Amino acid sequence: MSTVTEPMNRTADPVLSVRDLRVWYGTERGPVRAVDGVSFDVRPGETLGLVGESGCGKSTLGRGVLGLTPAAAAVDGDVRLNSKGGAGRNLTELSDREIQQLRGPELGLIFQEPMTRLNPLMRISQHFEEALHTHHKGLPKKEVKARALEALRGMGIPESRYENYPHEFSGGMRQRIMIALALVLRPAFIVADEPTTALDVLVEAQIIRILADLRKNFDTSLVLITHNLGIVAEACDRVAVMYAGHIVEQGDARTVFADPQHPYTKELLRSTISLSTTGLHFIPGSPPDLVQPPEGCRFHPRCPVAMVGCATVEPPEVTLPSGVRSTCWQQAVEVDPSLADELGTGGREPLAAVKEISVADEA
Amino acid sequence: MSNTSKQSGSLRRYVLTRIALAVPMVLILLVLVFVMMRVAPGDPISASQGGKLNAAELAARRHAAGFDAPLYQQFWDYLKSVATLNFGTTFSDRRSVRDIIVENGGATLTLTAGALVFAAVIGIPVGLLAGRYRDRAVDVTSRLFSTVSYAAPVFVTAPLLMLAFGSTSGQASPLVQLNVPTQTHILILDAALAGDWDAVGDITQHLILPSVSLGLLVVGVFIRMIRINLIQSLQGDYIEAARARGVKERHVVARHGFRNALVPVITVLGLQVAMLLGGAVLTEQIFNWPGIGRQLIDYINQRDYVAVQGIVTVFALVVVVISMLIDFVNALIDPRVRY
Repeated sequence: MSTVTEPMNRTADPVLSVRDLRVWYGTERGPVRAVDGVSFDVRPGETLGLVGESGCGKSTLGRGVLGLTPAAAAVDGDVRLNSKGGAGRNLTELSDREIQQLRGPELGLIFQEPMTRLNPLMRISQHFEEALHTHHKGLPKKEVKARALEALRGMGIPESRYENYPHEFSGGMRQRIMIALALVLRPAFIVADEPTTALDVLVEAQIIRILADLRKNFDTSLVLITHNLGIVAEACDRVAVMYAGHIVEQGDARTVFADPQHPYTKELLRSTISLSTTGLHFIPGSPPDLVQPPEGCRFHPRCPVAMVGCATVEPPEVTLPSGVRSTCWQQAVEVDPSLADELGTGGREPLAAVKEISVADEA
Repeated sequence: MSNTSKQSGSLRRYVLTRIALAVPMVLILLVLVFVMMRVAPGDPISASQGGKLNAAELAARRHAAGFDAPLYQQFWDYLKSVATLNFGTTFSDRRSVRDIIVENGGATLTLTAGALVFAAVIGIPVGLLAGRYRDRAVDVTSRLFSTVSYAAPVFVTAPLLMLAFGSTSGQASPLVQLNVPTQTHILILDAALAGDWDAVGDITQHLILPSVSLGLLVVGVFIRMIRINLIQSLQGDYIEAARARGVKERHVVARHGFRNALVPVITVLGLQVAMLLGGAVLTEQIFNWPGIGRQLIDYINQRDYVAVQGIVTVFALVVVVISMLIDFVNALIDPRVRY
């Protein structure tokens, strides 16, 4: 994948700058390329929505940034954290101890299933004491409690519940406690990994509102991983669409939703369900095997507008006039017709037509 | 539910409920012990006098001892003896079972405590290491060791240990006669209280082999339970969440991993105490250890079912009480247990 052709309009320097991040899992069949060369930026107070099908590498991407991948995973690339504590260091090159010290005060993670994320033997107060004492040694007890209660109050958890155990709370309350537990350390950057998937819709709306308020109150940058496109439209400034370990399209959330460019984004948006939906749309085929991903564009076997060249040559990422970046030959040749040479002769013929001919020949 | 005073109240309620539930359990247990004694063949009189006396005289002796009384009458006497904590008077040598417990209980207590200490000192660290370093050399070795240790019965390990470390004859050397005032009936404590440190050392020396033999019976279970529970708890979602907050790795393992792994282990510990008491009977016999277990075997040989019934009852009550205490400890550690 080629690098960014043109810098985006930037209002502030990004808090987190990811370039060519790769996270591969070792398995018996060979490496699984869960995240395979991903680049994006997150600016202060910005919310980036990360969407895509299950298994496209969204969660792995979030964990890769925080250095929380399992021992069998290899992480490579450049992840610059430009917050005060991050000091522009490349997170993938830090020692276990160094990244551990950044997790909490600089990098936060909110999880998908809040029910099991709190230690059942520890009171809520003990969770806060542990988090605060780990990163602020010698913080007086009174101060710890004051800060913990402040964070909990912000999430609507009353002071009287401070000494309770996790099992005494509902799922929605536990997720709010988890968020308070992440926020109490005031990290510059938070990954929220499908924070509402396990919760009912009313609680979901509440949590999303809390997350959307974060940037106003704390200037916190957020990567919101979700497969719910409605949440992205509601809560995100920008959106990045992932497919098979790649980001295929990213840009301003409204622009992308109003006028999706990449065929995968178009198909994804067509697949959403609304009250006006009459027949369910789905994308034929299934996500590719990440041990042996398809050659060329990884989406070409399922792409309705694939060209012959898409099956062999990987598409470059191009920036469109709207500022949206897309990784698709359709847009690439539009933006820069000279790129068409790379597709080879006859490379722009529709792939579907060629397939039909070859089938007919055999018959 | 929402404040501390109410929480301690729920712990109190849990304890009271648990005690109330123990009452029917104890009753069922007493019936079982009583019935088992009555269905076993033989009685003390025919055991000691059978063949020497004619049938009429035997019947007369049995009547005098009350062995021909109706079962409900005998059961009522049994219940009374348990309620007064007297547990009956032995037929063969006219001792109160309570006296046997008081005089020999200390030795059994010392032995089982020694075994438990051995099992804990070896089992907990090895189990934790095996779980932490799963599939490495320490784990594989410990799995092999624990399988062998809990598969081998006391009557195999004890003579082997004696051959290896004790006297070559395979016989345990008897304890030297001690001249210390009896205060607690626990020999090692009495010796320590009297300031006789040579005696303490001698008793400790004699304690090691029996404790190890008995401890080997449960150490394997300890290792495997702790190992598997640590592996499971280290995969817990709250472990990853703690890491995501930047908690130090050694705190993640100790505070979040180990503590959660110990909850089920404590429950098993309660069951292992019953196992230890059973094993103590054999161990005391093999090592000539002056505990209740050895007394029990003597009385069984004499068909003294009042004595056997009394001692078995005490063993059963000890197991009930210990499993209850274990439940209380669990409730203290794990708030979810208190409902």
